Amino acid sequence: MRITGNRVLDLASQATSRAQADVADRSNQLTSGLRVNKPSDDPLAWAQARRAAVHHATSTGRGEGLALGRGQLVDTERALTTLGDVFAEGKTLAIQAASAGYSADDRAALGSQVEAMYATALAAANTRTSAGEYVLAGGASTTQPFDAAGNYGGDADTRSLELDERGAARSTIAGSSLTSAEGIDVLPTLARLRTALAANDLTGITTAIGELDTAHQQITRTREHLGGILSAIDDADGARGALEETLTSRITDLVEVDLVSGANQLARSANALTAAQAVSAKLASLLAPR
Amino acid sequence: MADLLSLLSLGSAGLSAQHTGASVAANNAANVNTVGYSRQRVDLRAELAAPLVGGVRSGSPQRLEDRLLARRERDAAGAIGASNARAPALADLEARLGNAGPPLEDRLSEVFASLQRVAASPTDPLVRDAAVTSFGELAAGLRARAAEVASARSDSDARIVDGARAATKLAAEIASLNKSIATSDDPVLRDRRDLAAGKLGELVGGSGRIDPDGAMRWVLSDGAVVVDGKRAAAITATTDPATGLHKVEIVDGTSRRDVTNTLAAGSLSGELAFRDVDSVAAAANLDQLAFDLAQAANATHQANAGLDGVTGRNLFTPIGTVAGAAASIALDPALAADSELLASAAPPPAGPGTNAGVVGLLALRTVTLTSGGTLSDAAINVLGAVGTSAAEAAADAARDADISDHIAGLRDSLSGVDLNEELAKLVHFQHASEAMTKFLSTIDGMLSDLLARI
Repeated sequence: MRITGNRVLDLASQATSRAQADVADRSNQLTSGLRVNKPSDDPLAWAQARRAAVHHATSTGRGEGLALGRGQLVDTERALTTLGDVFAEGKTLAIQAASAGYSADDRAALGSQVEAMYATALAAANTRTSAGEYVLAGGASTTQPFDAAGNYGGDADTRSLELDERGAARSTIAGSSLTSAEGIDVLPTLARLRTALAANDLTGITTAIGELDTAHQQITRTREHLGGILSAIDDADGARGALEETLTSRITDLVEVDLVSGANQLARSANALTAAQAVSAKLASLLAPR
Repeated sequence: MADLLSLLSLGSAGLSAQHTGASVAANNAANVNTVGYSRQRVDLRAELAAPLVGGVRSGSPQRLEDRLLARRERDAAGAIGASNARAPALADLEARLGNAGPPLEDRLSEVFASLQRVAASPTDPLVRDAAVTSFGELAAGLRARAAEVASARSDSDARIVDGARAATKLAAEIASLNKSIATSDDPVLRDRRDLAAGKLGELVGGSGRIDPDGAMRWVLSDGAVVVDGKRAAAITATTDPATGLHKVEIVDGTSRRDVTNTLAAGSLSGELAFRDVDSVAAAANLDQLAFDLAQAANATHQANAGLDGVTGRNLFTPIGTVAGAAASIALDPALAADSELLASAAPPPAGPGTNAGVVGLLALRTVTLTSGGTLSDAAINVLGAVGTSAAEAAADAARDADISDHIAGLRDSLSGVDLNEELAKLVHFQHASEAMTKFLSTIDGMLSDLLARI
């Protein structure tokens, strides 16, 4: 085949252009750190990376929701701890007051103490989050759940949050768990002890001991339930962290440049460019008319 | 005497032949860098005569060309014209969609992340505002991309108009050159016609055939005649009232032939493929995503209640049809103004602290659409499909460029000028001229001697 000088120069020029483009591509990849910048660079890798990114973002979003839910559960747990402490102390006071050595005045004094404890328990049962929600109100979370007499005005609805890809779990505790629906109306038992102490009603005090014990156990069960939810959230959070690390690593593998192989490829491309330029220069000098 | 005079004549013819050869070689060398130039060759032939009065004569300079190769070159021009038009248009659309704000799938992820926060704290106004904002930004992202697709389509349409105008000029130029070639043997006219034909092929595809009378006839793949001898049709782009875009017609006198859907090669075909197929597919993907999103979100939203316990409200303004959904999707104005209307709660009697509504909206993340994937899959596919097409078109363009380059190499091997070759020929003809001069001088001397003796 006859090859003209112009054709030889064209081919050399094309080889130089290709080598230059290759060096530019490799340099861009190394400076940006990305092998895949846009879908057309590698449609399959790009799509896989985007799906992994969505998966990652979903997991992160779920984590944010769980963090908020966890915060509310911690508020709830604090309220239940206070209630538990109050009822444990109330039971102790009731046992003391049931002693035959206590006078009516002594019981009246204990009644005042129980009065203060009742206020503490009521405040704990009506705990609000920083966003203003009543943590033990169920679905009616914008309304104070327990009135002054300790009667529950909320409902039994709870919320659920996604724990992971596979499932969701309850993320709130309704105040109904502190009512007769779950055993006994907790707060009124303390109110009845207060009344019995004020009235020096030994029978009432004795009855209150049993009720307070039941109430305390009910609070403890509720706390145990809450602890289970918190534990599930913490487990999900741990798994979430591991999943996000895996996804980040996968995205890196799909779209980022391996620096060592990228540098090697750049060096090879640069050598090819140098060779192409040398050939072009030589051909130009050989073919130039003298 | 008579023999010596014959020898003088023979020498004169030889000198003339060598001069013609030198002239052709010089012309070739001078046109070494002229685009589309085909080198010429002059054949020297021996004169058939008595042994002592043979000699050499030159024929007319011949333009070296291979019609089959020229045809292949024009066909390749059509293919590369198409892929060179479609590939950059798709790359441009890919860039436009990529630069139209955060990716749609990220917008969707932000929507679902904000809903996760609402699920955890449904009555928190800050959290609710953020969720409503994220829905609004998703709708804005869809609208922005719909606008980009429409803009890319409109730009492509403008290029079609320009291309049609250029093709009309080239067709007229070929017809004019056909007319000139009919009355002239100038090979430069054929070079110019080949060049114009290559450009026309790059614009509209088709093929050029040289008729027995030497005129080029240009016919599109569907049979539409663009150039017939000295007559050229106009390639016009006229507005189609149905679409507002231009259709391409071949207009010859009163006859009009719509070739919009039949152009098979050339940059106009590439642009039409982009305008009528690629960008339409991108718009359809966007519209389907917007429609599915609005329909599913509205259905769930209507079934649940806002903080005021009211159900039946839309999340997005209702969208009647898929077509144009992406351009028109918008957040319900009342909801945009008041995030308390976001249906996060279960219907009454459930209270505002429930989150069944949000859980329902969150479930949209995993709903399988009619397209077979999730909303996120569809969002990824909007740009991914364009990117895949862009990668395929770029590969097509590279392949067509290789084919075109190969054919250019074949053409160059026959018709290209090699400077060294031409310079060698010049030297050859120069030496031959010198020999002829000496020959003539010798004969002249002999004649002078003879005349002196007489």
